[in-house]
Amino acid sequence: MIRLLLSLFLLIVSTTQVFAETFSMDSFDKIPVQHEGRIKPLESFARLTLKTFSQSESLGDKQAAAWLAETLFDPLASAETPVFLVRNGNVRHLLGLPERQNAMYSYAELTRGLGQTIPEATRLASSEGNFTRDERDLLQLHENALLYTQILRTFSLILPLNIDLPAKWGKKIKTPVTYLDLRKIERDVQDDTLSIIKRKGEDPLKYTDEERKTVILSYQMKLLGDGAENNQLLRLIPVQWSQDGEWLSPWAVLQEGQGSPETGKLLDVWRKLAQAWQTNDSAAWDVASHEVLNAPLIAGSAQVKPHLLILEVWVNKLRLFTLSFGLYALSLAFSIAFIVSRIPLWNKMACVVLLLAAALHTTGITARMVLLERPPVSTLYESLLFVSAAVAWIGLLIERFLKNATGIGILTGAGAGLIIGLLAQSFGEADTLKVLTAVLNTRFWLATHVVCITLGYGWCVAASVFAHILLVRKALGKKDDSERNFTILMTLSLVALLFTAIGTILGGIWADQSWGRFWGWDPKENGALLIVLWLVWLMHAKLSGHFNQLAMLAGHALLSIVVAVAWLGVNLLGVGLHSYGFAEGLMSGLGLFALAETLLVGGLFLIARKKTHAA
Amino acid sequence: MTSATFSLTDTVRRAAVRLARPDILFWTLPLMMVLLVVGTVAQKDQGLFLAHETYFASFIVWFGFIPFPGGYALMTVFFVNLLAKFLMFSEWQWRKAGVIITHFGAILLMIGGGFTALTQNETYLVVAEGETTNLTEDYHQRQLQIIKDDKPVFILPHQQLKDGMIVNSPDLPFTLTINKYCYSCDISRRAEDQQQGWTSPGRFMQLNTGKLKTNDEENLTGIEFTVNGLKQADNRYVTFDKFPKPPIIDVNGAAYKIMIGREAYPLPFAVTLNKFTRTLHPGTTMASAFQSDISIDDAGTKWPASISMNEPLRHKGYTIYQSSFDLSGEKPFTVLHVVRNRGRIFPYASSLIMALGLLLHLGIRIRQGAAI
Repeated sequence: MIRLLLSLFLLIVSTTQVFAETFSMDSFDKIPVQHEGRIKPLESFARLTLKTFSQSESLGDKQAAAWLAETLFDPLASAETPVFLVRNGNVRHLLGLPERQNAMYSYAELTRGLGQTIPEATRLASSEGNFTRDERDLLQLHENALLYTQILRTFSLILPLNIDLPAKWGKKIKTPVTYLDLRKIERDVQDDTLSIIKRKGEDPLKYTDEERKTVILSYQMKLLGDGAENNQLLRLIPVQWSQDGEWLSPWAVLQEGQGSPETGKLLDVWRKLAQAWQTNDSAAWDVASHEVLNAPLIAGSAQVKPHLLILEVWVNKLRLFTLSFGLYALSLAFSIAFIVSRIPLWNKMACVVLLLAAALHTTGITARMVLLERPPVSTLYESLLFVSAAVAWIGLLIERFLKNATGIGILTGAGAGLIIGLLAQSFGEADTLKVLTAVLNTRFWLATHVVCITLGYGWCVAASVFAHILLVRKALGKKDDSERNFTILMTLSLVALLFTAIGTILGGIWADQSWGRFWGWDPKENGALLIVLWLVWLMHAKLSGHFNQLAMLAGHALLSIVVAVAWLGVNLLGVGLHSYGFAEGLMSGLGLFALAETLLVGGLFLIARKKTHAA
Repeated sequence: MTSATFSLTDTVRRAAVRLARPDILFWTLPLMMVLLVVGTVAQKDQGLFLAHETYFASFIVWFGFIPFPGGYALMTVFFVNLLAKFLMFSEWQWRKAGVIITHFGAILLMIGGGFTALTQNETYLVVAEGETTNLTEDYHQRQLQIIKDDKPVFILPHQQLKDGMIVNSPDLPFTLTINKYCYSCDISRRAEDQQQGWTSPGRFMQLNTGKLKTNDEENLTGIEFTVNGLKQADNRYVTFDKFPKPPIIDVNGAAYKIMIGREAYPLPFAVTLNKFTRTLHPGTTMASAFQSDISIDDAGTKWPASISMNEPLRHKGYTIYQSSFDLSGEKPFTVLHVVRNRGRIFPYASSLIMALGLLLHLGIRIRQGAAI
């Protein structure tokens, strides 16, 4: 039904061919919108919705913001633009979509198939339990399409309509006509319609031309209004005296009767903006988008912090994290080149690139902290992001302590930074800047316990990667500096223990402060304890003589599995307070990783032991 | 005499040497890690409460017919080993100061943990806006309660309830026969040909043993029972946990209410809920904060206080936390989590000591540039 209404809406709305590339998005980007509990720039909203549909933050040359503007102001053209990525072949077949290489489809192409599968989707949406991949993908596509229609209709109240007005009102209302204009005559049209139906019945063939137009107009107005019911997606209008700081979508302002002279003015400016887009007038566009940004209702809102909006757009555009991950890869390449060739220049370059990457990465994390106004780590994604930066710095620190430039520190930092960074990329949802639930909404504990334990993970990862490298060197029969390297590994291990132990205990104190028990055997608590016990075990096993140096290397290399289980594995259980991140396929991935690590470390250990015995 | 003392000291020393052996630690820690992993994974199916009882708060765990040391057993061994090592074999040198301090902190942590496990009491308190209570209830401990004129005259813990058992007491003018007991009951409709002899609502409600819920608090504990020994004919009843209308037996003008409840613990002060507030992130249904504005009445002295997420109230050794709420009814309800833990201070002290010890050890190590 919803989709049926939409296609009709598309028939009503008028369109013009526009070449969006000529438009400057500078002001439009920064227009604030309240979304997912946070005020964010439209640019962010555009990116994450486009990513939800297409898995990409831009459409070829077209930036996300330009796509959003087109969807808002020229729905008909947008509906023809392929934005939906349908990867699943079975779903494509089910919806009767033509096969094409990039598997991208427009909304117009999807509507028929989606319309036919509505019963199926409704059934799935109301059922719980495990979906097959096809079912899940189909449901996801339906949800995406619904989201898309909401964007599409955001401004359907101020867009010019392709409507044939009865002569009676044609003079009263200037063209191009919009829903907002029509509202002035809504009552009269309804009354007229009722009387026509009363007089002549429901068969339109009996109507005069004028009467038919009136009835159709009444129907179209109802269509527009009903279609926009509950459309709360783009909360663009601050409500002046709202107590809870809630903003409203343009339609909601109208339907909830929250209109005021100020909202009227703001909608007028939006109308100008829409007009500028539709008439392809880039000068008017610049003026109008600037005007929206500076409208009294927006500029005067205490919730809007212009410098944060600017910062967020910059953060989006610079893609600091992607950039720094690229640099980690480059640094790793230089580092390997040095280890193979022993030309000092390579190591110097690797070091400089790593330093640059870590600095950019840290800048990105700092920017996120400023935007979200909270400490750096509170989601799984953020913890990965944070740890990858931490290991890069730890690598640089190791390199400095090694003094004689063996390159192992850089190799550790760049390698671990890259691996964890790529993990972060793959775990990042479309929206990585999210508000927190009440239980996590505490800056003090996020800043102490969470940062401490996450840094603990970082030291563990660094120790593990470092141990891998030392193990490989042993297996290759290298003997240079092995004592010094081992001492550094033990120091790393001790620091890791320090951070994980204190972090774990701080977590206990948080729990005691917030829930009244210090220790509750929650999966995440147990995970952290597992790391502590592993480190304590290794340390004492060395002291008691159960483990020699080689076994210690292997034990620390295997720390990677322990950390992975404690950090990611516990989220698989889906129980307890900390199950904040969940990703499908993670379980088998984790199992595979553990197996591969065991084989690798075990193999290296055996080879190295043979070499040592031989020597 | 002297030789006897010698031999005694000798025995103690020899025992301590054995107890302090590093091999004990070397084998205990992996066992602990295995138990930790198994006990954590088990939470997915068993729920936290049951998994905790099975693996961590136990001395022996059975994997089929293979015994495995439970959490209590392993922690006891760990503690004895650590204590013996600490007392008898610490190297009292500056070089080892960090290690000694850390070990001391760990010992303190273990003592505190043991103390808390033995003495901590966790209950909850439910109160509606505008109402006052001093009663808190245990999360898990169900009991059969028989109440005469608002005073309990008979209480039986659920562990002692059994199918077919007969309950009698000098304080009761009747006996009960427990026909059916289930810790986790499902309710179904009683077949029409079996309704004879039942008092409503038991005539229509039948209790069946259901699947154990992973969240223990959701288990609906109930009984079906017969009242015997009264002048009128024996009659059968149903009652269960949180049942709003439990059966009442009238004997010579005295009303005996028969119910399944949670073990109650009265607080030495009363709590009134003035207002419950839930704040949402603007434009979403996701909560950003919960708060209960209450007043405390302690022996006539009254004062207001507020409890919110991460901001509990502490009074007379009780700590009261915001735990849950119910906004579905006419009046908002708040659910507060009440903890009494006399060992609270231990983790704070011990973690501070351990942190200092580890930092000191690290500092000394880095200065000396030596291995551990």
